[in-house]
Amino acid sequence: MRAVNLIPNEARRGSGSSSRSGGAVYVLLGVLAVAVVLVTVYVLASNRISDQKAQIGALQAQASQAQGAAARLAPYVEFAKLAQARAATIRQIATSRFDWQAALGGLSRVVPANTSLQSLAGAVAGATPGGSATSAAASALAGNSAGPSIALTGCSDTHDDVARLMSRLRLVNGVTEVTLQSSTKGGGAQSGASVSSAGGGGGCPAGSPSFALNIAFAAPATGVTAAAASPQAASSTPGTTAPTTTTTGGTK
Amino acid sequence: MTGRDRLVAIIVAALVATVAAWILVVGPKRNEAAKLGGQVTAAQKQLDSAKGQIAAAELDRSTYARNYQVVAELGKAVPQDAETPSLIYQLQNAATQARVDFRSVVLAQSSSSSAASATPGATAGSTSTAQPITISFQGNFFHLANFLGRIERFVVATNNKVSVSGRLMTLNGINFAAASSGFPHITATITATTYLLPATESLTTGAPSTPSAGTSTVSGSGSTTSPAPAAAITP
Repeated sequence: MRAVNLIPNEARRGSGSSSRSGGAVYVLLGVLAVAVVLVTVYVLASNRISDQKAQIGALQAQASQAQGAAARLAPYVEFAKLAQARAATIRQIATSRFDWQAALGGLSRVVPANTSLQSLAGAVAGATPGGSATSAAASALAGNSAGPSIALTGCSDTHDDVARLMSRLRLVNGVTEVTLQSSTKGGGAQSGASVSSAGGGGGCPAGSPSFALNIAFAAPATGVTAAAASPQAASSTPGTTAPTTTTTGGTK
Repeated sequence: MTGRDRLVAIIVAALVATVAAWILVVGPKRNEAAKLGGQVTAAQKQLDSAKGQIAAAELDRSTYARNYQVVAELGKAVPQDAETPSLIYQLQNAATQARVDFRSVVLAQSSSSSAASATPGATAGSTSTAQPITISFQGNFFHLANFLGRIERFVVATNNKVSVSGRLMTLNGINFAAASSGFPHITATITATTYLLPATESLTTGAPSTPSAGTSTVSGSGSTTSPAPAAAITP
């Protein structure tokens, strides 16, 4: 007797459609799932792009407005820079000047009682002190100084007094060097070439030495003075006004 | 072709299609999104920079009156033109106060050299034109020394402040000699430099002509303009 399976073929275990299709259904489902993922990623990326484009547009518009506003305020910025630059320039020039009053005050405090000055010529670095009024040698000495310098001529009782004067001049604040050019004891009223060329004040008494010396000072801390002043100092030396300059003003 | 072979072919085709779709469609889209992200960052930086400029400009705008006052005061020290009458008046006034006799003044031609050429940080527009001047006075030694101090104190600079009461002068050289009347009278000849603004600059070059312009505020939602109070600035 032969057994007969009465269960319909489509209802039997292991004989479903997938079995019949050899697993193609699963493949199809997988492909669909992957397609869904791809579409999802694509849509998300597209949405992100749209959002970013909108964001960029908004940011650029805001930036444009901000730049416009900044451009409208730019004159204030430039003016502030101008004010700062001018203040800096003037501060630079002002602080780089040599304090002549202090130098002369210090000088007056150390000159001994038995010493008299006949001429004094000072110049900042690079300028010739005294121009034509002082001796050329003293001018040359001062011209070699890196900082301001003062050339002195005068009379003293003895050579010792000249030495004492030099020692005391070294005590003046800012003095870096005191150089003697000459100390000459003459026999007459006009003793010493340097003194006689100074002019105006008369000579030293007979037997008293006339001296010429140079005092060098330390340069101011910030030095724009010499660079700016040198050309003018040369062209405006007293008594040697260059013919190319125009002059105004008055003279008593 | 068996069913198994067909299945393998279908799987391979699906994989190829998936990779192709990723490379050709999704990948470029993602790249574009990444690029746009960079552009967003750049635009944000641009906006932040502009906002920073506005903040700085607003600060300068708030100090405009003070800056104008500073420039005007500095204009007394370094004027636009020679202003010789003012200079003579200042010299005479200082001479009177120092009890010296103002004898002569000689102004030379302006030099094109820049007084601020060695100034660190100075802008190109901050250079000055040098104006040489020779002045002579008579008085005693101490009065003349006092006088020199007075004219140098026309402009006093400290670390934070520049006080101006007259022309900025640099004394390049002094020459003391006995006056014709003899000691103790001394004739002092002073060579100095005064400074002028360059011819291309006015005293308030670049000063905004409409200081009461509105205040612009840029926010994330846009910009608004609010009226600013009229600035109390008088040239």
